[in-house]
Amino acid sequence: MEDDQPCEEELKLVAEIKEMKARIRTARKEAADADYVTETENLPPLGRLKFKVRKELHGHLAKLTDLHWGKNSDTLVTAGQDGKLFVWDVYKCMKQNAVFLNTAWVMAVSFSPDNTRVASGGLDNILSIHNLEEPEGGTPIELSGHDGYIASIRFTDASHCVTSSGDKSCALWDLQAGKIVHQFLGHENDVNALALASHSQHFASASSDKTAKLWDLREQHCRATYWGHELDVNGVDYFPQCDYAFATSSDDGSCRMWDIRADQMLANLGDDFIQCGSTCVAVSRSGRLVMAGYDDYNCHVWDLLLEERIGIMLGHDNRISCIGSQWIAVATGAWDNNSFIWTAK
Amino acid sequence: MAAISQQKKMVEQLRQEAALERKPVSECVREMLQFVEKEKEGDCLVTGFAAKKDNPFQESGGCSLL
Repeated sequence: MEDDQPCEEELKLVAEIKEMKARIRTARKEAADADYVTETENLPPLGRLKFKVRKELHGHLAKLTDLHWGKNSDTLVTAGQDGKLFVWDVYKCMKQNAVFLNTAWVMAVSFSPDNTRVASGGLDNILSIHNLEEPEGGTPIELSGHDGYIASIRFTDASHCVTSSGDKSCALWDLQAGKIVHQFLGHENDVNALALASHSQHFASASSDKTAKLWDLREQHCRATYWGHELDVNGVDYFPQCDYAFATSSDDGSCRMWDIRADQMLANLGDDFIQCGSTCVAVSRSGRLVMAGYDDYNCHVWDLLLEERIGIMLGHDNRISCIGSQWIAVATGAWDNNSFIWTAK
Repeated sequence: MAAISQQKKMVEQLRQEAALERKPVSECVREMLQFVEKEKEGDCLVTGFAAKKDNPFQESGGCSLL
């Protein structure tokens, strides 16, 4: 039997895969008893929003790659390719803490739930845990397990993390045991970002395979796959608190909002003005606004309900790489080595 | 043969994804709109601040006597 000729069984499986995908498409259409645009078109528009840089966090000597707000929204941790993590007091604009990493190529950073630790990872393929209660983060706990770079990290609780990786998988780590306890397989290319539901029962991933996936953390399997983006999906953020929807952003220049209960895309945020890809996305605390960073050095602000671009965040001098939103402010990080804190008006 | 076992897993996964219970879009949108309206006041990126001093990031302006 020749290996390069698809055998009968393979052909049958290929046909079954095609049939299952068609079944999913049909089921999604059946749930689409209403049109999102029609349902939202009578909402009063918000008008143009003016975002202003309120704080400038200078200190990194190289591109920023990731950031994460602290639990009380008064601290921010940033990661830069100068191999440093800085924990900032965002009101005083001062560094509270600095961690010097063993690798310059950090791509992901996250606070632990109580903010006493930060996790980092990058091209070294290692998940590192740093103790902020020790000078300069102390000696990091270094955990191997991924076969590719770590693109994103979030703590699900004090002793567990989920990560997404260039090895096409996401992983659930037991930090006390020091290893991966479950691998979430399914993406067919690098997994660039992940977002955790507020109650940590599920998480969403964004991949260069052009899809987003929803993963159940308790039952440890993939619940759904969302097709629609035309290029790599780079950013993902949940609709706040209720966790029944999430937004993604893509190299195709669009941001989309997917409803988990309807199992499909509801909003598609893109227009002809934007001619470049989006690298990261954040949803505001009421769910009304989607802010996304783009390759054109700007962040654009979208009204998620009316699907209109209603603001622009001008200030960075290079590509936006990371963004994070909380009740009153947005933090951005860029390849211009800076992080800014913005408020509206 | 690795390809076949992979494809079998894919078929099984897709079968599970196809079997999901889906809520009608009309209901989902209605609930989402209710949520957004309810949370609007607390979202300062949408509503801004009532007064400049309510914004903890606002730079305190003016002169100070040294």
